[in-house]
Amino acid sequence: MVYYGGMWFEIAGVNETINIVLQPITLLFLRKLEGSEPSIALGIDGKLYLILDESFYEVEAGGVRDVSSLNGRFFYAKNTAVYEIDPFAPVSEV
Amino acid sequence: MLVFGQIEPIGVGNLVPLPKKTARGLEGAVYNQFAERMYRLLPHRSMPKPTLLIDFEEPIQFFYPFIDIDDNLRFTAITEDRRFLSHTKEPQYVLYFNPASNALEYREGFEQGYVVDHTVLSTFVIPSPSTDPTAIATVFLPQGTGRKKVVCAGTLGEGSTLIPLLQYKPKVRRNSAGEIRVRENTSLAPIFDPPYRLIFCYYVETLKERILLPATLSEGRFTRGEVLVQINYSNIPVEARKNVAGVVVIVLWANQTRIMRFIPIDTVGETVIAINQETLADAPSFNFHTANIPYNPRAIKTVGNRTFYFYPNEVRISAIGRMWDIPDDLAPQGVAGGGGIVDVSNALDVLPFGSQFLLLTKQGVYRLKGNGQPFCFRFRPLALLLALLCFPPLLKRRQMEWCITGGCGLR
Repeated sequence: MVYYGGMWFEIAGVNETINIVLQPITLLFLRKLEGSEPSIALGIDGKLYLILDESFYEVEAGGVRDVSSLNGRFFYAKNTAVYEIDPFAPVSEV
Repeated sequence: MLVFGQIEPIGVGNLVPLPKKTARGLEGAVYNQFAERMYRLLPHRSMPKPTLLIDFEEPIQFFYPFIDIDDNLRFTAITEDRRFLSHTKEPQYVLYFNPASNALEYREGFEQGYVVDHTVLSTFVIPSPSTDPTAIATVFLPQGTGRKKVVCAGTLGEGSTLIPLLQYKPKVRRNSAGEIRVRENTSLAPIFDPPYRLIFCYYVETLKERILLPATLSEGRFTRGEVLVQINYSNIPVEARKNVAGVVVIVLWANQTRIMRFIPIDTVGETVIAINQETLADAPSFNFHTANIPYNPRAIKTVGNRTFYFYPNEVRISAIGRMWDIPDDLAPQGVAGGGGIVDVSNALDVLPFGSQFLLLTKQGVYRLKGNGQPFCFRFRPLALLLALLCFPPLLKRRQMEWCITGGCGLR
């Protein structure tokens, strides 16, 4: 099962569409897309993306099995565990 | 120290920018939109570390979040071995009477399994419902040398079992040839004008509620104030009779639909049901949207207090607050807040979009809209098609292919 992720786009002030094919965008092969923007997406290669305002951000490089969203929170499963990722949390320094 | 507009991978969270998007601004200036937006929208310029919430200790294929009665965030999981684990990591089972082995079996082989928050008519709630969450699952059950996918329902928790909701319509006859025999008391004078009809459903009981399985509308019309219903137990295929709890008799008269009686499946002899003004007034009304169970859906998803069932050629949408599919052949009236069938093929997913929904399909994205109401479908295919606005609206075939395949000659 393969579909694409695209962009949200403003048309006459209303967010009405995703995937403007005539614009230079990056199309991803996605297995699953969850949550209205920001969204969490799972690529067919197991990569995890966050989608924020016309841009994709890769969060995990692979090994992700499923993604889900509930009440504005974003979760994903990798190996045997479920994790939460907060796109608006302050950065953690290492 | 990063300069504005500069991109570099940052180790924390493995943030790796994708290929740049560029746009031409005034006088041909090229801007790097990616960097600009990254700076504006992600002021920390890196992803935070993920937080471990639960370790199921088995490789996970799918997981589903839910909020329990105490407002705690919980998860269920389907493992790679097709086990259905609760939030306490307890495996869940389906209690299924297998005709091949002539025995009840606890089975696994789940494809989906999650918790739903829904309401049902008080008629369908059993007197002492379990406080455990309501669970719905799809499971593969044996069928001959193959297998079939069946929806199951029950509660989530230790020792809980799910009940298979088999797609089986009772055969109703006036004589003893049917699985259910129905006749009216012809010694009484006719009192109904127009005549009424009867709807028969098999039903099952979970720890939470009674669930009606696909219904049969009687061909006969009745006018007398008494009908006699007999279950011909041996006429019912063993898989059906061993996996259901009984039969429900519903009266359909004029614009009224009333649930008259639950009859246990092993009842011997005729059950007399009086049908008159008083008994009709006392009987609870029947909501069609609780009637049908989805058959072999590709996927089920609950969004916005509705349940979406994805089929190869259509999407079925439950009424608000209902988890069940809508019936095929009982001709329900579309009402505000009711469910409907959407004729769109190859639907894969649905996203909430304000008071509307976005349907993601292989051929594009559709927006589901209603007529002023959040959702208002009538059972007219043309009207349903009009309710679907395809985006992009003027996409040409070549562009669509490009869009689906990812372009760049990846076809």
